Amino acid sequence: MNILDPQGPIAAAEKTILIDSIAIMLAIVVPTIIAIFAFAFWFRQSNPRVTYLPDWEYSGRIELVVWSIPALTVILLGGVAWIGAHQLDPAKPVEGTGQGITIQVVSLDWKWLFIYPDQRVASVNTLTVPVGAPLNLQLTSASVMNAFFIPQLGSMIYTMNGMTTRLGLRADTVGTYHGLSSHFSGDGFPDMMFDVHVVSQTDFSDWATKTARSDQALNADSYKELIKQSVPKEKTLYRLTDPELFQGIATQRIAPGPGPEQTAKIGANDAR
Amino acid sequence: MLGKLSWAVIPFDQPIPLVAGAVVLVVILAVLVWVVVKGHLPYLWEEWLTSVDHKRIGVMYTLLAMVMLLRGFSDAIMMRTQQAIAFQSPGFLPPEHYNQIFSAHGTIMIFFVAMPFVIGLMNLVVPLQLGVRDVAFPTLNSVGFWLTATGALLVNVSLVVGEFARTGWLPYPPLSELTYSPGVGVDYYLWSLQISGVGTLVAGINLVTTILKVRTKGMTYLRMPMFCWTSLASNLLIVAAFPILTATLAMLILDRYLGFHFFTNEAGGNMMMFMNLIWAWGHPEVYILVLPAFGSSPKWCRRSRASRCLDTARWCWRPW
Repeated sequence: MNILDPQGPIAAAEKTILIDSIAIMLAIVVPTIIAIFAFAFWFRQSNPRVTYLPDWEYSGRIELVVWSIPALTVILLGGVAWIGAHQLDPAKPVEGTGQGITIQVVSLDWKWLFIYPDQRVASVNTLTVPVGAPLNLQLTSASVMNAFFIPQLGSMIYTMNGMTTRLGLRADTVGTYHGLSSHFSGDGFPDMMFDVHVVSQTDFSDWATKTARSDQALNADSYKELIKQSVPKEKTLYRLTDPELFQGIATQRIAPGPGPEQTAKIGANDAR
Repeated sequence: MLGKLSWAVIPFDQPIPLVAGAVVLVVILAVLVWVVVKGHLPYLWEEWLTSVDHKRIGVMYTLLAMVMLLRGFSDAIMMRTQQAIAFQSPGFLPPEHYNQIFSAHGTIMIFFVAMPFVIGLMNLVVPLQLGVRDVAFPTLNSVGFWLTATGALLVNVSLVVGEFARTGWLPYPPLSELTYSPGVGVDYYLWSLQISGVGTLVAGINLVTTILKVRTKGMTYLRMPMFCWTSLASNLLIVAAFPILTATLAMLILDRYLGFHFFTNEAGGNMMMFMNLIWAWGHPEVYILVLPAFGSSPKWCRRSRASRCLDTARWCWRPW
């Protein structure tokens, strides 16, 4: 599981919470399981040293143990979750070296569009980011709900049409990672995967400069093709000619995705 | 007059649902023929199908749960088979079929296996433990069961006529809205859950009334067995939570049928409202299912010990 191999501060903190909570719970679970077997063994019929108390009813000490330990556990787990949830608030900006990169993420049926408004570039199903830089993600959906998730960088977050969610991330190691949608979004859902290329700061500038000369332009017209339901084979790179595109999608100035194409034989088409 | 209904809705090109449907039909017909030929029909009709006896209804609830468990189980096997063989290959199920299976699996296991099983158990046991002849409203009890059975039937009809929802066990909008799910699958889901949801609500009201109002003489609250207490809690939760489910799904129905915009992308609809409402039902639902199971544990793990009032009272204060 690559959530156990974090490559950024957010994912590392989340891994710590995961391990801590499992350890706290195991501190209850393991002694309980051992106690079950120990009690069953001790109170076996052939043990002459056991006292049999059929009318036994109440013990203050046992009550104290069975109430206080779970209560302390809940308080401890609750504390870990509460503090962690505030420290790792997705919208909180992340510290990092170099200039922050704004990336606008749009989930489409069934692909991911990444827009870099400052670099004036965009890409489909491939995300390139500089190592160590704070990444400020703004996310929305062009149609149905999805959840954006790069397990090795941490914090999954929902995308919804007409709304913008925010996520701060940082990648600390150069490499290629795996990103996905973690919320079911229809027939093309299993193909909503993307690569995450974490490259050095200079490589990132080179990539941005090169992509800005791409012969594919992303604007309202080419977006009309993207918004149709499809699973793209290619990971297209665009130069961004409409820097207001994300705002247009998030504020619904651009209409949401049309869904499945209506065919004449709708009944036959819908039957499995 | 038939609307979208035509021969085209029967998936002649899909052998799996057709064969499954055919086998089920043959089994049903065979049982029916056996019942009629052997002359059991009057007995079956008078003593079971139209019975208002809480024990028989309890048994029928449990039987329904077992039959639907078979369906849910075969869905699970198909899902796991697909996952096992679909590594770097498309597998044997296309996405639109697989999505129906996993949606049907979740829906069936919660609404038509776990719920009927728990309600059946409460129906069977609670009046006996309270020392009464039947529940407060025996006819209503029968109505509740047959509404649940109707919902289950509708889910199974979708196997061969049309399709089932491809939106998961909870149909999150906007995916479940008309724009993104124009087929009849979500409609099957909505109607079967609305019908069986009313059945569950009726059963809940019935059991709450039974436990509060028709205990036998001398059966005070603190003498009630633990199972009656957890059943009371569970049924109070049914009465509190199931109307929310019905209202939420009714809003989705209005969106789909009458062009409302509760949860759509357009016209100010808010899909988060669906999330909030459906989980206002979904969270109590887990306690509805688990409380009677917890309450049954003192019954089967303690042998031959008369339940004491103090004992019950202390059990009741244990947090769940």
